[in-house]
Amino acid sequence: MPLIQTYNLTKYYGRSRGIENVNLSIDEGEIFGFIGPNGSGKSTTIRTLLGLLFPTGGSATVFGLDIVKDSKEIKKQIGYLPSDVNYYEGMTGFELLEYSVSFYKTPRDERFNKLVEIFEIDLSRKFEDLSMGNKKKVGIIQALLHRSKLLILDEPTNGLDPLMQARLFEVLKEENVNGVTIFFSSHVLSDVQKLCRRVAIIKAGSIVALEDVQSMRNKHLKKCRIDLTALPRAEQFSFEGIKELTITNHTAEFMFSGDTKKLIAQLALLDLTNISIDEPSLEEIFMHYYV
Amino acid sequence: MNKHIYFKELKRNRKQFLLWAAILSVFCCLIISFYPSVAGNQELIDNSMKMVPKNLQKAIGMRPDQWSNVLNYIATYYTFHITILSTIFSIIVAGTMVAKEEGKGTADFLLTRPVTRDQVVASKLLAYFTLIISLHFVIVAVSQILFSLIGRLHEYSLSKYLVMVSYG
Repeated sequence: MPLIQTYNLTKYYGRSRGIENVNLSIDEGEIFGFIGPNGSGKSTTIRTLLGLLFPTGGSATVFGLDIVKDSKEIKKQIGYLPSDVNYYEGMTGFELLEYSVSFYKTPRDERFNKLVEIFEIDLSRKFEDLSMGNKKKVGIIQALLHRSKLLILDEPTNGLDPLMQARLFEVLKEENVNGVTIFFSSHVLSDVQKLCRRVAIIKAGSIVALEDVQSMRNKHLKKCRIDLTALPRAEQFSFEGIKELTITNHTAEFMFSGDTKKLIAQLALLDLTNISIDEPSLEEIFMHYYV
Repeated sequence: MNKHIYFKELKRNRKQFLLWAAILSVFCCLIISFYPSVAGNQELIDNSMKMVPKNLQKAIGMRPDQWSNVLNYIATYYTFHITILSTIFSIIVAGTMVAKEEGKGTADFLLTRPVTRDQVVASKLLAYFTLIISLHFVIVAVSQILFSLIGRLHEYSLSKYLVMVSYG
């Protein structure tokens, strides 16, 4: 049984769109990436799953429980990091974490000290005096502290320096090895690329692709760069499967999807001096979905 | 009802509570310490009361024995000044408990814990009542001490006073 399952989940804010007919299925033990630009509905999906928003249509289950009726039960086993970490002013980081963990059956144990050490944070300072990155760190520790089965992280790398991002990834990988399922939302594709096995791409409130990170990179697009002796002309590349052709001096660059054999056959007709066919980065694939 | 939210709310509002308890205590001190001089001039007051027409006295709720004992005297202030001051306190507390949580976005923190919305509101409401009732307890206790200090404890009944406070 999937850990998270949504059926045509829809949320409208009055008349404006939040998400439309989102169908996702996330298995236990996976690290699932959820990418899309700002305003595409990532946070809306997450907030609906957490019961912060009520769906206007469709339904969803987490741990096999309904997100509206059994929200309380579901939240016993969820660690959530919001994209904007807003906690109580006047409370120190330490007080906040104690308050947070008091809601769960898990006691505050050596894990607390370990996490504080990893993320190098001064918990004696008042929350409003912390920088954005440090607020985020408090949020991350808060999400991890009570040993939940499912971590829902909304743009966790936002505001963290590269060192802390790397540490976060290490911690998340370790958690995942221990059986924790991770739902990782981001607009930074390289993050998703490093961590996730499967990824859903959301665009204007709808899921446009749900694929394996690996097969997504293999199957669909090749990034080609060709040097010619003569100046390349656009009509030389007017065959099926070529996208985003750019020609600069003697070089032509394009994305190709389709039969590689045919591509090679076509290219063989040209007077080549050099050729490179690369796997595109997720960034480029992502742009492809948004073109 | 969730005890963690309840105690956290009490703790978060303790400064506000202490401040208002102090303000109201000082106010009680002022009012009650005036009483001996008011009571000492009973005759003067009686005379001025006579100058007010009977019907007007009724209309604005004045009574001839208004200031003749300490309880009636403080009731005049209680139903007005102290009620207003404690209302300000209750508005501030209620505001920080619910409206501010939503406005500052901290409500998400509570609502992503394993509690229902009803539990959040119920815990906060209970904390709110605890604070308001405690504040009035402080006022009653301070007044009682002051009554005995000015030697008027015999004129005063705790039960009547509590009825008055509960109106407040």
